Parts: sequence; structure tokens; C-alpha cells
Amino acid sequence: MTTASIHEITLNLGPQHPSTHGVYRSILRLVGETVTSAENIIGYLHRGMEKLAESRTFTQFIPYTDRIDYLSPMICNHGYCCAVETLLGVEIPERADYLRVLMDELSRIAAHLVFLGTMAIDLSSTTGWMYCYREREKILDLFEMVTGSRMTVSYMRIGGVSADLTDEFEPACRKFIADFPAFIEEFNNLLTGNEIFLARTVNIGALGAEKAIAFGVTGPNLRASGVKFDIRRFEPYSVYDRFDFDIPIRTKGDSFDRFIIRIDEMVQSIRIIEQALNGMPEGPIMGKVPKLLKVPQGESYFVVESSKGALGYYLVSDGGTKPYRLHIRGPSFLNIGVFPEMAAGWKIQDIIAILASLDPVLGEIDR
Amino acid sequence: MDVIEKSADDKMSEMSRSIILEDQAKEEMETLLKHNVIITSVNRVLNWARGHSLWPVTFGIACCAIEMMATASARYDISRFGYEVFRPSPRQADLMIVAGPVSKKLKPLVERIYHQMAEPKYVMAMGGCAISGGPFRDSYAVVPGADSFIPVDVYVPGCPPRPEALIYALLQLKKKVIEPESIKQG
Amino acid sequence: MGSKRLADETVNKLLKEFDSLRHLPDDHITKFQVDVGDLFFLLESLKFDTSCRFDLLMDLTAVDYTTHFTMVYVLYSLPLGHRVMVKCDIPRINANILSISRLYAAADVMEREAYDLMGIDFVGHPNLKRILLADDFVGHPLRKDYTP
Repeated sequence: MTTASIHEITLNLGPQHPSTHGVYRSILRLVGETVTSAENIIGYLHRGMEKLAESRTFTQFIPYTDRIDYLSPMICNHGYCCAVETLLGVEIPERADYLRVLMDELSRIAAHLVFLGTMAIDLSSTTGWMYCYREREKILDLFEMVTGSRMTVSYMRIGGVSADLTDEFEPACRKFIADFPAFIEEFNNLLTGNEIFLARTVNIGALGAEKAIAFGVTGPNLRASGVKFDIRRFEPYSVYDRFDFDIPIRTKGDSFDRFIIRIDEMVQSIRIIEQALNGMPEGPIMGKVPKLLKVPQGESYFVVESSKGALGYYLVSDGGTKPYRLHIRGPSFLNIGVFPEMAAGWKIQDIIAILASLDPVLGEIDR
Repeated sequence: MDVIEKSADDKMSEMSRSIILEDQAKEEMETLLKHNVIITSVNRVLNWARGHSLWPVTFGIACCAIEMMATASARYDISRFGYEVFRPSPRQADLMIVAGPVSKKLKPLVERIYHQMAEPKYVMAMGGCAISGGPFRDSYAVVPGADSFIPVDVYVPGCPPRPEALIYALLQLKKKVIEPESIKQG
Repeated sequence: MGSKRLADETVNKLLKEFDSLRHLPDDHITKFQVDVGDLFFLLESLKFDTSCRFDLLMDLTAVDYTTHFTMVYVLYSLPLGHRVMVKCDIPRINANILSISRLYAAADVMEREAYDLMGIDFVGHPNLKRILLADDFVGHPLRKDYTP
């Protein structure tokens, strides 16, 4: 009589892998194709930013904030500048605040487009990726008109922003806003109703609200699980309280919900951009900040709503020209922490969909 | 060819000796060429083919990877040059684009992927971080440049380099592959 | 920033409950300083008390002030809309503190990071090993006396 036994095999996923969104590594234990456990191994992009902050002046650190979440760099600039401005007590001109919100929302759309594109290509839809990157190029053109750079913009300064809008920006931005609904429709026709896509994402990797909050998950991942928590509403910063926009919520918390909610958020961001363009006041773009910037002694904790979740900056100053301590709360660091729990029990192809739907960015996981 | 006889006491003049050697060398070269010119032209064809279809391995590390992805996308389209086939397996690729800072934790894995690639293989250091460590050079966690542990063929400066810069770098690499003699040392 | 501060009566209730608790003045966030002995019970109260209900651990980090370390915990309450910062000093030599990973699952990765970069031992943590640096890395880089 022959006996059969089932062995668990150990499989390494990443850090060089087409679907791991960067240098993320996971050690999977499989029985057949079903994952019994997944262990996160991160740190392959650890650059020591928090230690570098202690040897750079406050302004010199702004380009480093671009590299935290390099898909939505404007938002990272914004949070850091606000953390310093809280300690400095400087007043930001109104026009600078409107420009910051405008750029933040464009950045959010750009980041969500990368999410849609990478989730599409992870589930084998190369066309979806091409469509999303084609749209993203339009936003990068807009950034280039104002900042001179496509991606790592370092646009914001302590006290305001570095450059005003050029003449070509507003017509181009309005054209982008006007063309965007057609893109959403085209993308939905391609992917959202596709049978195969739905089979791979609906009811896959459901995340409950309580577990999400316990693990510190924030952003669209949390809102897809039914929890209405958005820093722009919870504690409005800059001039977000002047804009009329909805916070999309989904209830099931599966991969499909996490996918759809970001499309809804892009539509809301378009609303904010339009209102910002219409209501943009005239005025200076930089507040009164001394050339040699010495930040008074103290500490501040500033949180902004990044495209991935709550991005927090904890800044301690000893009264000098450089931070004494800077801690960056990267939302993806917490979001990815719940992945092992979510992955257990699913097949390998499902965990790729789950990982893609969590939208991790290694820059803010490893810093 | 006359062979000049050497007397036990007479020394041959330098000029005469070099004429003999030159003639001998010419004879040898003619026979060599007759046998090897066929391999030389096959090499040229192979290099031409390699240069027109460099397959990169999917290995993006950080922000430069996003610009690399943009280069492969609709607007900049490196498929025009034959380079859009990113291979997940290093065994099937011949170009490694190191796109981002190499942290000390990642360094052994980059080396391993480099060694897993089959010859002929090429490495491109994309962005300031891969060239020299970039803005993170003085960090405790970053290796100061990819060329400190693997040979790099092309350096692309920028932070991140624009897609046009990456395309230019790929074309420079193509030139290096097709005409290796055009890249002269020193 | 328009975040709600913790209500005064709740602050007073907590001050009465914990001897070592001090309410520090700050324009932007309700800030508490507490001793190591009361820390875990304070965080438990902050999580479960009906007037606090701090269900989200936003951040957990540490600062090296050369004479001591200061642990910093930032908590958010989603149902009640307020936030709080709790600070706790621990000695630098043999730095250790009770892990709160049983209380907040989010503390798991954040405590591992603090251990990795600062060298603080979190007693009772289920898996305290390096997370960002390589396993064979020597030293804790975010300490002020770290030399590479």
C-alpha cells in the first residue's frame, strides 16, 4: 500500500519580480497552489532618510521628501513643509495654499493612474497599463510646465511654493479636466466590467474594518472596507475645508472595491482641481521666511492624506538649522503589514491581485 | 626572400632584422585572414542583431523605475527600438538597468541577478543613485554606485533621467554593442 | 490644523487615574507625558474608555536625547474625532519597554523598526528582529552616538 503525504513548499516572491511593485520580498509557504502563510521581508530600499534629515538643513531635505512616495511627490512635499511651518509659525499666502491643493490633487490622480495601470498589468491587461500611462503623461506635462520636472518635483518650499503657474498651464489643465471623464469611460469599458478581471478581484482578499484599523491601515484601503476616514475631512489642512468634494466609501473591502474606490477618488480630485482653478486668488506665493532658516525648539506632528493613506511627519527641532529628529510615517509601511493576514488561504494568483490592490510603494515602506 | 647569412662575428643591422620579421608577420596574417574572415562577419551580424533587440530584465528599484516604465509606455515607446521585451527571468535577458539606489541589503541580490544573466550581458546605471549613490551617498545604508561591485557599460545621469535620456543611453549602448571598437579606452 | 482636542473633563479624569501622568501644553495636539510603569495601562484606558476610544495607532517612534530615549505614541480616535500624543522617557542603557503589540496590531512593525534603528528592546513582542536593515548589520543607526 502506498501512502501519499502533502508537503508544504517554501517559495520566494521577489525582490526581483514583475509584480511586486518594487523591491518587496515575501516568503510564501504553499500547499499545492494555496498559500498557507506569507512573510514580509522589506528593507531592500532602505536609504536611511531619517538619519540623513539630521545632517541636512530644513530646506535641503525637501528633495528627499519627493523620494518617499515618488508617485505622488507633491503630497509628500506638502506634509513636510507644513510640519516645519507649524513650528515656525509662518503664515502661508492664500494663493500658495490653493496652488498646493491643486498640485496635491493632480499628484493624487497621477498616483492612482499608476495604481490602475500596475493592477491592470499584474492581472495581464497590458492595454490597461498603456491607457493609464498615456493619461499620466498629460499630468506630468502639467507638472513640467510649472516646476520644470516631471516626477521628483520639489515644488513646495517652507512658507509657500517655489513657482507660480505659467500662462500655458490653465488652458492645458482645463483641457485635461474636460477630457478625463472620457478616459474613465474608456477604461471602465476595457477593464472594470471584464469577466476575467471581475473573477480575479471580486470577493478576493476581503479586509474587515476592525482588522484594518487595528493594523493601522489608512487611505483608500481603509475606505474600501467601509470606514470613512480621510485626513482632508478629519482634520482639514491647508484650504481643503473650502472645497466641496465627497469621500467615496465601499463596503465589502475586497480587491475589486479597493480598485473601484480609487477610480471614484480620481473623479472627486477632478472636482477639487476645477474648484481650485476657479477660485484661485491673486497674491504672493511665498510667505515671509528668513533666508537662514532656524526653526524654534519644539516638536510637531503633521498628517496629510497621501494617495496611499495617512502620511505623517514627526519633526523635533532643537532651535538650529537642521532637524534634530524627523520620523516619517509611511502609510504603505502599515498597509503592507496586514498583507500576511490577508494572503493566508488564497491561491498564488489571488495574492498577486491582493498585493496589487493594496498599492504599496516601496519608497515609503523602507524610506 | 633572401635570407641574409649571419657570420659568427657580424651583427645583423636592426633594419634587416625588422624587414624579415615584418615579412613573416604578413605571411601569417594572410593565412589567418583566409581562415577567420568568415567568423568576423558572423560576429558583426550577431552584434547587429543583439544591438537591435536588447532585452532588459525587469528590475526597477525606486523612482528611476517609474521613468523606465514610462519609457516603455505609450508616449516614449522603446518598442520602436526593439527593447520593450522586459524579461522577468535574468536568464533570458541581456541588459540589466539598475534603476535606483542599491542598498547594502540589496547588493548581494543585484550581484546574483548579474551573474545569472548569460553572456553577452550589459549593465546600465540609471540615475544618480546607481551611478554614485546620488543624494544618498553619505547614508549608512546605500552602496556608493553600482559600479563598485558590477561592471557598468552606460551611465545615465539624472534624478530621475527623463525618458529621452534613457532612450539616448540605450542608443549609446546599441552603438557600443554593434561597433565595440568605437568605444576607445583612455 | 483643525483637529479636535481631547475634552477637558476626559483629561482631568485621566490625570486623576494615573499618578505619573502630566498634561503638557501644546498648541496643536493634546500631549501627555507618563512614566514607564503607567504607560501600558494608560494606553489601555485610551483605547477602551468610552470618552477616549483611540482605536487607531497612528505612529510609534523614539527620539534619542543623548541622556535618555523618549518613546512617542500618536493615537487617533475615528469615532470621536480627536487625537493625542503620549510620551514616555526610558533610560538609554539597556533601553527596554513593554510591547503594545497585543493592544494594537499596528505596533508590530513599528516596534520592530524602533528596535532596528534605535536598539530599544520591546518586551513581549512576538517577533522582535530587524526589519529594514540586513540581519547582520551591526549597530543602531538612528542613535546619536552611532558611527558607521
